[in-house]
Amino acid sequence: MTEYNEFYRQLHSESIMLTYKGEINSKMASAIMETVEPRLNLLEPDLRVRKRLYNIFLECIQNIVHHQVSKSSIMDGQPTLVLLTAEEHAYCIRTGNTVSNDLIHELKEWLDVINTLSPDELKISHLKILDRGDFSNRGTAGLGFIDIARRSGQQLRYAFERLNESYSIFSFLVTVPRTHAVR
Amino acid sequence: MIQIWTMDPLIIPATNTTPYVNFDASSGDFKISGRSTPEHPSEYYAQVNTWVDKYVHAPGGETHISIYFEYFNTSSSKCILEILKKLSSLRASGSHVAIEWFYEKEDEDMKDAGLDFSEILKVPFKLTSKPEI
Repeated sequence: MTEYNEFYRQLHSESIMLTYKGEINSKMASAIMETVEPRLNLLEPDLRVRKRLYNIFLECIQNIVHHQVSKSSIMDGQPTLVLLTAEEHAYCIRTGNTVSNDLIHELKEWLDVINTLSPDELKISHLKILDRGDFSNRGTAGLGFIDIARRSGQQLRYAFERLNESYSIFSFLVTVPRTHAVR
Repeated sequence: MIQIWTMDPLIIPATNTTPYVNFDASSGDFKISGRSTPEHPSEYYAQVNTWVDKYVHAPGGETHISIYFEYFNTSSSKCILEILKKLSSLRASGSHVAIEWFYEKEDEDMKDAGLDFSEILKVPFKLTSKPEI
């Protein structure tokens, strides 16, 4: 019982809203969003923050659905991980999923560019890509990352951990301030 | 001989991830509302595009578009823009097109999204806040 209480205290202190480990297909993505939404409605009184977080989290989850590599399809496969926590001043979204090494260079380049852009530059870039209707260069994740950066007003933090010659784990972290983000 | 071509309205009920659509060619009232968060929105919006393509070939004198999203994902934004581009293009042929963009009060991001579309299209939107859904 003591062990359980300690475990409960640890989880509670880390303000975990959702943790998930495993492949995320369309059905699971819907289930995750359906789980998060009412929790968010209870926890966050500010509509602006609530909707912002929901949108950002949705983009993160759908990026994973579109681009993850199934654990079972590769050697050294790792499950996808998602962690959503509510801290005093911000929500924190952490994800980890397997990606093909072929994608790393372009993805890294894109995220690094996004992280250098000012709010106005992010907006210009966002509208340009949207208007061009050309998602092929970056894929659907390209616009998704810009949207996440615009909405959160924060740097997109990421890392790649090599699994083998063909695949790596892509870890991603974004925070969503609980006060109105400066744009 | 007067030829009158009427299109049946396009009415699509809302789902958890796709919006309510009610496009009425005879009245010129076009409503879209709810959520647009499907993973593959092009599949859903194909039916809307097919209808809109027919409409722009024989439009009414006035087209009033009313948009009120609670959420839409970035994948949907491209589809939404495509429809708005087609309908806005009617202005070039002298047809009156008015677009009203609704957003939940305090949802500044959704208001900004309307401004973004307006900027891309170079068409002024009427922006109207509504009480929280």
